[in-house]
Amino acid sequence: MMYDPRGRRVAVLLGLVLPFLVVGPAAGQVRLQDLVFTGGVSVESYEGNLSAVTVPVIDSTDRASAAAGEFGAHGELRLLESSGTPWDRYLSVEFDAGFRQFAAAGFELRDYAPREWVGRLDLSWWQRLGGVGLVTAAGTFRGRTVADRTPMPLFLQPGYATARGALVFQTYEIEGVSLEMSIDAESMDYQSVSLLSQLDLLDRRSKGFEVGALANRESWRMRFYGGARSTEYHRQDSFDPEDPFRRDRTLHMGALWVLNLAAVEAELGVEGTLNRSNSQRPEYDAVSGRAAVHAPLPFWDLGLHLYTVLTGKTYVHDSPFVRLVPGEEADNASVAYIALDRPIVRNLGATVRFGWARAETDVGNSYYSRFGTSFLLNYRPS
Amino acid sequence: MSVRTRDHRRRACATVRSPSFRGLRWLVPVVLGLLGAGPLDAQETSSLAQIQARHESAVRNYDAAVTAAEAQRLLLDEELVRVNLARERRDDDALTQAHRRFQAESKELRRLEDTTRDAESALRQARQALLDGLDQARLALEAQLVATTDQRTTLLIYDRLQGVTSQYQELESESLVPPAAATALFSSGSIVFDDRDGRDELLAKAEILERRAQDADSLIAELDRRIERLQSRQRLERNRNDFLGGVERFGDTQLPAIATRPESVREEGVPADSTEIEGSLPLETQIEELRDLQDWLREQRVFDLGLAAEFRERLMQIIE
Repeated sequence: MMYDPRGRRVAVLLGLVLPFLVVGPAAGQVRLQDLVFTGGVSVESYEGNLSAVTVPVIDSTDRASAAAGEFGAHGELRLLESSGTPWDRYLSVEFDAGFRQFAAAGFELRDYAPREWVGRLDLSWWQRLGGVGLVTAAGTFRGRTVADRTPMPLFLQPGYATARGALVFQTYEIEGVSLEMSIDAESMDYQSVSLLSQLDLLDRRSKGFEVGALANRESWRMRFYGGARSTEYHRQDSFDPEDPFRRDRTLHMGALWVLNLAAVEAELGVEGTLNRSNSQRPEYDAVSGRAAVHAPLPFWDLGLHLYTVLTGKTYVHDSPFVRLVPGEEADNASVAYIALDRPIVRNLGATVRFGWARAETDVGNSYYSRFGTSFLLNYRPS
Repeated sequence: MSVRTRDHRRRACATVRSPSFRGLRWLVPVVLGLLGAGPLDAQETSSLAQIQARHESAVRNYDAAVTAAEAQRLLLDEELVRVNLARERRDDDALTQAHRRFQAESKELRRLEDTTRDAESALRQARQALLDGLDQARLALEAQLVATTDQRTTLLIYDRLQGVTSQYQELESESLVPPAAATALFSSGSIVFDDRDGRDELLAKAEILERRAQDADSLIAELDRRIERLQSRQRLERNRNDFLGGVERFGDTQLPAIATRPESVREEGVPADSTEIEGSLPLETQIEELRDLQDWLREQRVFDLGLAAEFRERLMQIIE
């Protein structure tokens, strides 16, 4: 059984910090907004025949299944909110936490019962700058921990803790177009456990910038953007004695179109990525497209949600050995989710969700795929 | 930044315009678009332009009527002050004159409010006619889009189709009565009973209160419609956020090829203007404020009707 003490500490920390924020000294001004509790069950099946170096054991099965129960909570604390002036400000803390327990079956070695704890904290501050534009500072802290992690093909992300900071500046519209610039830095620390120190290979620090132009119309908006990113994997070997640790440089550019009507939201996006490194192994070019639709249906008070991401990725150099860490650096990955929701009683809604995911390595055509069906209840106390 | 935070930022940058500006602003591209080398035929274009002109005129009339009624309410308020002053000074001549002026201004206010109601009704009709006209134009453009084979014409038609569609949606979502009208309605101050009130005064006061209660009813109904629209939007956003939050919570969508880069600002909103600030309130706050306004209107309405009943009771006592 795996145990991630650092991840547990993150979850405990979030649990301790949040109540303090809720009843803190500024309680007279702080507003708890959109608190929602989620509970649900899922049935999932997994297929695949690859092994993963970040998973402690290898099982010969190609097929596994699992039932899962989950609980989650989400809310936002508005710490500061002003409107009515060219110097409006807004400060909020958003939190999200969840627990998921699996009962997995179909493995040759034994049945597993993996358990996940996750937590996320988003701090966001934005401020208008007179007649110039809007500046946003944001910080995100995220942690997860997994106990009794299963062999493939039931892939669960390993435990990690990550922190990210970003600064964004957006101008007001000039001829109907707004310009934006952002910089950010991120640190990601995977939680290795005894007998699985290779998870540390994924630890990374990265920083990047992005520029974009946004055209906004009454019912739609279009954004073009591009940027660069520098990522250092200080525990990975580059196989170059003069520059021993892996350093990646990534360029990306893309476009996103969003339709935003009174009752319907839809988006289409495409993004291209060029990743170059001082290690030949991870150099790749990738293109991903995504689409999402959120709309009410004309019967039974149902709402429809659709979300898909399709990715294609090719490597620049052939490599005679397995170059990927499955689940963390898959060759190409695609996900599709479709959900129907409807209110049941006041403050309580139900969702039926179908999900599919497929991630494939480029070695031996090995892959894993997941199909799941979930029934979820969302309760809002107010 | 999360989806919810991005929503708020987007809303913070929303464009807010006055009702009359709304009425003029969308007219420009429609007329320019449809009067140009238009895919619509000349008769349809001319007809739509006429409907738009009528709607524009109705918007102007409505704005003028609302402004005049608000000014008259302020005037009536001043007359009420004069009545009270004369009463306090026990100056019967001045009181009689002030009463006469108050009644005359009350009649004028009644007339202006009738005019406002008529203008509102005319505006509703003009708006519906324009909605129908835009819908017809959309159907015609769609038919032409199917029929044409020329690529350039197709692009032209498509461009205008988008314009017509977005104008239809904007027009459909507009509301006639701004929340400010609710407070303006009761800006004429309190109407109180006085021992020296005669039949005319009692009747006039009762009628003012009853009419105000009727206006409050209309505003409450309008606020209901506004709240319903906001709730519909809120529900969509909440469901969307629940859905995305649910699939992202446990990292199931974070397959590496699509997460080599941290979440960017790709979905941020567009700052439109530093002075456009009204729309910055979150949906929850907007709904809450409208509900508060409704509650306040209901209280005022109940109070006015109760007071009007008292005035009528006194009136009956005098008559008997």
